Amino acid sequence: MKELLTGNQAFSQGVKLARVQVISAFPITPQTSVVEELAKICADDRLAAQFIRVESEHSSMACTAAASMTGVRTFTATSSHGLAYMHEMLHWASGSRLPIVMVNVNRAIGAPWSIWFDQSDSLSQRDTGWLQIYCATNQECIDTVIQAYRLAETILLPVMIISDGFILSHTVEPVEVPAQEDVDAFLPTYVPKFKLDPKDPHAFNILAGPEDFMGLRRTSQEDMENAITVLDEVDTAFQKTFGRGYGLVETYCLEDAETVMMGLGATCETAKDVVDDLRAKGINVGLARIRLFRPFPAAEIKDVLKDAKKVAVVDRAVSIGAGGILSQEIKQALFNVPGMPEVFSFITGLGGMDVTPELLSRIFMQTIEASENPAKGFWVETAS
Amino acid sequence: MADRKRPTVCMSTDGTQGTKTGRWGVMRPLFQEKMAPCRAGCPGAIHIPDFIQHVHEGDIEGAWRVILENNPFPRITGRVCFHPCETPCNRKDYDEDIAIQSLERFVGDWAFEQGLSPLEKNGSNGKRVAVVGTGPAGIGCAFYLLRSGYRVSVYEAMPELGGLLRYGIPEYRLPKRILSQELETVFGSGVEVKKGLKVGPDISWDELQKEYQGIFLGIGAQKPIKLEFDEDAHPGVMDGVPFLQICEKKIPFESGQTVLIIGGGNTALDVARTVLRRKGAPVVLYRRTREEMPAFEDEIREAEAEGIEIRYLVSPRAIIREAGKVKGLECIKNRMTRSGADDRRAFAPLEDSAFFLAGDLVVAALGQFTDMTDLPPEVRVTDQTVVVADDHGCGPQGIYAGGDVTDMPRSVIHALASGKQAALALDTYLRRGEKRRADSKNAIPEVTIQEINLAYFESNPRQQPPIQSADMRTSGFEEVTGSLSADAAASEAARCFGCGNCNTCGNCYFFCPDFAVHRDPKTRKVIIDNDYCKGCCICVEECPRGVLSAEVKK
Amino acid sequence: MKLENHWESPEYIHQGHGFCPGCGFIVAFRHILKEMGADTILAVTAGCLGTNSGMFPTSPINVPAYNTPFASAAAAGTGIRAALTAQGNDHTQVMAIGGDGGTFDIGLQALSAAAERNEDFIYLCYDNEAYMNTGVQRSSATPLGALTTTTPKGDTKDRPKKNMAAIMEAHAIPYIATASAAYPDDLLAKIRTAKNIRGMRFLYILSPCPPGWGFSAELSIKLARMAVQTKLFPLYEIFDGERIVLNLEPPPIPLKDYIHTQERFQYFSEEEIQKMQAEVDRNWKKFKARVTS
Repeated sequence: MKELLTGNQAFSQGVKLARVQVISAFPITPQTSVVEELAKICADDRLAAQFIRVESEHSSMACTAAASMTGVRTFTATSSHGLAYMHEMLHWASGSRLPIVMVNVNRAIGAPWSIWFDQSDSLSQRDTGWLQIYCATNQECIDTVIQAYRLAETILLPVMIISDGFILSHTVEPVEVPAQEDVDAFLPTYVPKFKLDPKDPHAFNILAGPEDFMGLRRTSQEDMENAITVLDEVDTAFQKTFGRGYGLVETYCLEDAETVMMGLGATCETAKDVVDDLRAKGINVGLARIRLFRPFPAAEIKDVLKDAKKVAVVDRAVSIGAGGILSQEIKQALFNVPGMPEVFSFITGLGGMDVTPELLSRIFMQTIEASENPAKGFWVETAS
Repeated sequence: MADRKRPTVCMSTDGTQGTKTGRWGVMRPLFQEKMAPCRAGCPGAIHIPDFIQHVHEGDIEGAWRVILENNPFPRITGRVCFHPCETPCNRKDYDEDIAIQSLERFVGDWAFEQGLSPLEKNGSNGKRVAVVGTGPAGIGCAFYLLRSGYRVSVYEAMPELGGLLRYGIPEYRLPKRILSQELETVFGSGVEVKKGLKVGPDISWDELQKEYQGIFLGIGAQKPIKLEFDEDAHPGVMDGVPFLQICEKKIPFESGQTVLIIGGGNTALDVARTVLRRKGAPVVLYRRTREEMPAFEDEIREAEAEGIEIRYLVSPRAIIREAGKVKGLECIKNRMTRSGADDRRAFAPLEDSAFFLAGDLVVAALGQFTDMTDLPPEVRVTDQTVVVADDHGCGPQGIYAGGDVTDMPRSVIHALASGKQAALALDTYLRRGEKRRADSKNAIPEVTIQEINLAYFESNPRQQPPIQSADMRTSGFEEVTGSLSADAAASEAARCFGCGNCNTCGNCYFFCPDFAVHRDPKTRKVIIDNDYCKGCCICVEECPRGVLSAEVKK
Repeated sequence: MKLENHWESPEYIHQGHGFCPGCGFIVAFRHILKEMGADTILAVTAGCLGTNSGMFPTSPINVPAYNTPFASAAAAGTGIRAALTAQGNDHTQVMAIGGDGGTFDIGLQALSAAAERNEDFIYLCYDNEAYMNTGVQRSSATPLGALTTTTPKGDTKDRPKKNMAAIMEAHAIPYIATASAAYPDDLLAKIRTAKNIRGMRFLYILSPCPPGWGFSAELSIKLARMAVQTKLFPLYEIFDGERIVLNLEPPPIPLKDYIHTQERFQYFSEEEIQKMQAEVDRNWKKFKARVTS
């Protein structure tokens, strides 16, 4: 059924449809309405979940992880400083091999304070062992929640679903809300492979000696890699059931594009309009939106870019001292591969700085006309 | 992912029992039940802490059976023993010593009231033993022989059984009724008893040796020591033990007479107290001071409480008579001449200290010695006693001796204990033809107050048995000391530290950080699991009664 | 202590664990678990218990146990209970365990929040009065005058011990109890009471630490006892933040007897001890005035 939903409402509806059993969250702008919406959903008994109003994000992830370890489907959401506050727990949840799904509504991290969108919060957590899926539309938000549980519960690693703060979270779009029965058929009850159970006692997360630790990390790596295949299967199955699929990398007008723009999230929706405009003018550009950021789909990206000459990466997060984070990841995937395009990094849109169609157009042109390519990227602070 | 051997999650799949933490540390607790000072001090080696523990648990019958292992007559010793167990009691260093004798008496009386029999009907092993003399040594020996299945016959020269128990201890200390009940339990049925029969004159030792496979000599020291200056038996001068018969009116006694009693032992005081009860006026004369008096401390105190006049440092010199009747004694005073380490008991007469003491009767309670004339041939002797080896054998095969006829401390418990030891030796000889080796005195360490953890004991006063007031006492011959009530006995038993005797209180088990203290399923005694014990020794510290000690690991 | 069948009752911790010889905590914890029974899930955080919760693939703990990072014991307890409720399970007991570090300091926030929400689990705090597991560094539970590696000679702890029980009391939770391994009957009774109450229960146990406090290992239980006898660590219960029950009042002993048994107090001067004795006496009087029974 089609409804007008904000991104946060879409997430909340997805959580309800997924029949999550324990929710534990702490409010932070711009995630707050996820928590509020879920509180209402639970209070109305539209969802039979335990809703724990913890006092901090560290506790929300600690609570969620412990609940997940006890063998139930769990959910939490946060942004920015909240995500940073639970950093320790992110590592812990991944190392514990828990199929938690968390929504992170992107927001810049201070100091100084900023409540507006950039991708520095989620991207700076890329080493914590969580899968990361970036959504571009509110439809994708609700659909990804459902996909994410099936994915997480298969590979036993936690999944972070990311959306643009305010741009998606607080903007209303028309969303097809799947029917509960269809979701139940697609997403069966969670049956844990291990859990806290008095009938079968084990101690979890005890000390691991060096060799065992290496082994466990390698196992996580293998299972994370396998997520590429599994997400592909899940997405294909989702397409079959609900008529919508997203893949790992979304491509737009790539057939003869010499210059390809790459980015994460809703910025890419704007970029599609810019591609149309430039193509109307005879400039062969295209777009590749990275949906699955962790595990990084290197093979898919290499494939998508095999005919491109140049790549313009929209970096909405920077690792100070190194450069744009997304472009680093892309460069790494293409390094030493013969015939790969030249990658240009454009650091822009930090702290909610508006990334307009004009700005994106300028990035395309600058890439096409580029006489130089600074390793740590161009800083684009204005549209012109 | 499928055939991977590596685990997915860090989850335990086994316990830590494979880690033998017993390798840690340098100390180790040692479970060793130790000697309690009361038990060390008991000539009969009664397992005192064990019997008291049974009382504490409400198992009076169990307590009784523990006592019977070493003492068949708790109703007797519970009344007349000089309780050397109580003096070294560790509880004395905390508040007051345990009333062990009162508890023993309580247990004995209880068992009697329940009609319990100390002897099961043993099958006879066909061997016959003669026990000669039925004082505590004889009846002790007879009991343990009967228990081991021997056919015992007892020979008693006096008209009744009991020896000094009957003839030397007055009614108010050991009622004849109780003595008879005790003797009845052992000699009541199935034991041949020959009273009024003296071996030697009436039946020869030879005949006994033919008829019996073993003989026990418990004939005691029957002859009284005479006054130096009055060897002939003039009227008005009596010997201590026989004089006690005025108690049962077997000897007439006019009230109001002043009786001068020479001596410092129990008999002297018993005579005095008996005279008092027969409305006479006793005066006790002892040549040294109270400190050297051989009488039991209890007796002295009771005599003092009864107002009996005791004159210390007085020796009689001559009996003064007028017209054949005793008028009194000429006496001199003494002084102690303790000189250095030599003889604490040394004394000497004071010059020019002679004085006259008026009296109607003189009783010499100077002690007794054995009549050496009627002994079995080839028995080893000195001029005063029978000499026994450490197994109580006294020379000829199959003849053993104990009690006052031998050279040993003279008390009921000493005699009983020697009877038991002789019975064991006789049994070894008759069953295996061997000489019994004495129990190794290999130091079982004794527990001191330092090994007691006082945190586990509340301080509370000793339960005292009811004692007749002095004026009540002297009007008759009822028992001076009464019995503890069941409640009082329970309270008193609870005060016992149980030195060195594990009662599975559970402290060691509870406080062990390595769960390395277990209980043997059969013996219920503590076992230390050396695979896991790290040697912290908390168990040693928290054992209330010194059963666990710390030793360095080898 | 009535222990007839206790000796052979099931154990929930295996032998071969790595706790220090004479550790005051593990004595209490073993019996707490025995009393809690098999139908228990533990949330364990960093500290002496966390470190000794096992080295893969073995663990000494024989009930399900989940290690969670340092600040989150109470949050983990909350999560476990939420999951059990979601599964329709209202019989399994949940126990979150923290040392003084994980309770008074880094874990205080999560604990306060769980208490305020009256989450349904038992929080067990074992207080050995410093960050012992990482090598005896000072915590807010370290008593005045004590030596630790971060309060060395010349700079010993200059602030009194934080009153954690009072903080919990202010949260008006259903049950708070102090307990001690040296008083077994009292300890076991309190576990039984706690098991039968729903909502937040806070159990607080003083755990003597031989290496950290500086005493010979065999004295652990004696020191636990002395802490109670000196009134430093009285044994009481608080119901619903209001009704205070004093469980035991053993005959008192002077504070200096306790102080002089431990090397960590070796630089505490006689006048300081006297001052502390006066403080203890004053606090005891104040406390007694609040006791309801």
